[in-house]
Amino acid sequence: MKGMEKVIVIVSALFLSGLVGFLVFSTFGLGIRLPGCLTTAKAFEKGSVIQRSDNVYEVHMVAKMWAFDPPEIKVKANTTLEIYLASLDVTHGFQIENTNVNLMAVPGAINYGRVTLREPGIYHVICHEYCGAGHQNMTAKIIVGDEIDLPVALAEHSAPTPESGSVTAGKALFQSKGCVACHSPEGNPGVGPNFKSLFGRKEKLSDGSVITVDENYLTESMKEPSAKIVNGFQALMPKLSLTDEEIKQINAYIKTL
Amino acid sequence: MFENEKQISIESGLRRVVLVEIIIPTVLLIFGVYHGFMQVLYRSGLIRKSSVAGIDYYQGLTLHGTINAVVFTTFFAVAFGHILIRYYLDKKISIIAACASMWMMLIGTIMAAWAMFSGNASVLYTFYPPLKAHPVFYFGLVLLVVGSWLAFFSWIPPYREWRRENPKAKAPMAILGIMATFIVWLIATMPVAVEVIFLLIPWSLGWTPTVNVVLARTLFWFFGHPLVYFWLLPSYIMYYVMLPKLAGGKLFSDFAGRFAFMMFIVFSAPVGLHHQFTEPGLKEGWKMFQALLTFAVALPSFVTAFTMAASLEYAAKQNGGKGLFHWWKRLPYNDENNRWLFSYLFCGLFLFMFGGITGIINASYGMNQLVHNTAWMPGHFHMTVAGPVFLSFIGMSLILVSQLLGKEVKAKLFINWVPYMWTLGILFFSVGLSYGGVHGEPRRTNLGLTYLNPESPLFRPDWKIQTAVTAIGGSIMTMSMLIYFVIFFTTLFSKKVYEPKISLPTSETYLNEEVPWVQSMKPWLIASGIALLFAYVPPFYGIYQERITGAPAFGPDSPISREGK
Repeated sequence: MKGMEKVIVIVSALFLSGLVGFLVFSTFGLGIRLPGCLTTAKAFEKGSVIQRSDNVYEVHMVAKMWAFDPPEIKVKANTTLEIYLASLDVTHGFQIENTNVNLMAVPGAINYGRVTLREPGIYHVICHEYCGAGHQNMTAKIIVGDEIDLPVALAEHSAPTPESGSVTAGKALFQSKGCVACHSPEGNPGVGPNFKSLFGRKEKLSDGSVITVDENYLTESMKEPSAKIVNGFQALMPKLSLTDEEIKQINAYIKTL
Repeated sequence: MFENEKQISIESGLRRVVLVEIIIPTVLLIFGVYHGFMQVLYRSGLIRKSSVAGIDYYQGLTLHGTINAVVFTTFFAVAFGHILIRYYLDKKISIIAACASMWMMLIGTIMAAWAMFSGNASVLYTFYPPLKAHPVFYFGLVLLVVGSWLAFFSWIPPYREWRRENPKAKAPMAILGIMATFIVWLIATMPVAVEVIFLLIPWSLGWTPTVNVVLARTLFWFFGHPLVYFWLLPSYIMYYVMLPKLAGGKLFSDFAGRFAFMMFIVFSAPVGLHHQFTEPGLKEGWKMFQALLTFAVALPSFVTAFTMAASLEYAAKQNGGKGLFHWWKRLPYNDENNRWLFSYLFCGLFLFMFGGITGIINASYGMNQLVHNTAWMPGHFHMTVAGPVFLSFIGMSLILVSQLLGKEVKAKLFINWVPYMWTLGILFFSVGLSYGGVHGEPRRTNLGLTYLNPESPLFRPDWKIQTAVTAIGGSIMTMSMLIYFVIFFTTLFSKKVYEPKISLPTSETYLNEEVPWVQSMKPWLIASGIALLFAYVPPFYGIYQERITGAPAFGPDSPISREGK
């Protein structure tokens, strides 16, 4: 090799070793680790948040088509979250924006990540692995603030009048709970019956009987999805953990369609 | 035609095979490009629907990935390989094997295309279980891959014959390159064949109730990374063999090229875990080991970058270039005669600088968590596979079609617009995606329905600018491809003006080093086997030991398992 070539080879080698050096330092020096546990513990099927100490919470996060359970977590600033992530169906992604937490939820194994949230604010969680038709609806939120009743969190649900307020809130739930993935508000065919002019519509059920869609029927269908199935559809809808207030809001929204 | 090069006429059987293997994928590429364009419209919120013209967003994304990255690339590599073997060894290839390979690949493509167009395989080109596609999709992919193996096997007898006749000679660089390409392909496709044949097909037919997802994903990425070098190596052949000649000079170092190809045989495969850094079921130590090996596979690309820079400088100085920097002006950036392939290769090389650096960022272990599965990723790989790979493939496709049909390339006034517009488009496109990715924008998501839809409660106004920049880039790329398709098809349907002949620009070497350890593939193949054992035996043994619970199948449209009812 000629002189100049030697210099280039040495400079490149130093550059690459430098990169490797930083990589090793960030892992062992700064403690930025990758998920690596090999766990085959039986997957939990319900999400939960368990307080372990003053400012450490253990989160059991369940990913399923197309929602996270729990969909919202509220904690004080400077809280450490120990997150265990399981999938109930297909592969999902779990990234807490602006943090180092970026995990795959792979069925058959449990993933683990840990983060200390110092700054108050809303941390969006987005499913970033394609998981089917409703993938773009699959999100969760971590709300961090000094007080538990946060002004930011309330802002979204506060409304000028109770009636229009619940319609807005119902529409938000309709999106965030993933209803929209199967039930088209515009009247397009989908996995479930469409919701265009649903209220007051007469539907034939799978047992042959005919009912008129009213508030009672909608409430029952949200609480016990497989109780009454519209003819031509299948009992596919998962049970959602909705409060009575939320069901009222969704009903209010459906009435406007 | 390259008048000063060796010219050979090719027997009509092989000629037809190669033409089919270039023209049919180019026709399919129209759909691939269309669905790429649709992606940027959905993602910027210009389209706020789940489907357009009867094709759903995710179905279109599956078509985009499978046609552009699997079908087009595999067909091109096989066609290019046939031509290189025929041209540089001057030996005949078994026409029966070439035909059989072509038919298997065509039938496989038709099967997979049916499954995708009919909406029975909206599982993206990575087909991660337990999302399940129609069995025909998996069978189609198997046929495509096995067909390409057959082509490779048909080149071994002519190579051995040439070797017997020339026991001492160095193999031509193009031959070494194409052999390395298909050795990498053979290594890559073994694990995915195991995944598809032993895990996915029995499961999609309902013979086995569940599939081990961790195992399937590890097998897939054992394939997924050498796959990208299978795309890249035909471009590298054009860089080492043709670019210096097109520029008006010589390849700076013969050793550099041979060393780079041998390095890829060893290091392209034992690095797949760097796609799985954020996954459970795989230990940190295994991930770290493969992260370090990934830096080794960056080495041959560094070697290539410097060798190309040196070769271009030599060429420019032959053309009368002077000084430390001014020589840059003396390269054929806008040649409209017979050296226009230069602009395609040069633009690819330019994009690959950014593609390579973002790739090193992705491989950097802990840093990967900031970008994994975000929009950053398509931002990265469009500067590699849609950079040097795509530009060199479409440029060479045009040359081969015109030479094999004896036609002049038409609309030559615009021939150099294609790579420059494409490069400009990619820069906008990738800047938008990279910025978005760092700010949490996910890849593979119909953003227009929710995150970029002002009527949705999930609306993210802070993502508007970056997705708009991406859409501008995507539109420029699409216009560039429209020009290409016009050139390609007007050439295809023009009059024959000369007897079909093949001639390829072939560089001489400036430094023709005699380095024995890059002449024989054997030591490199053994090294490759050892690296693979160290990299993959522990993860597979670990997955086996853990006895991970299998997952039943799910269709993309329903949250209830197909087996559950």
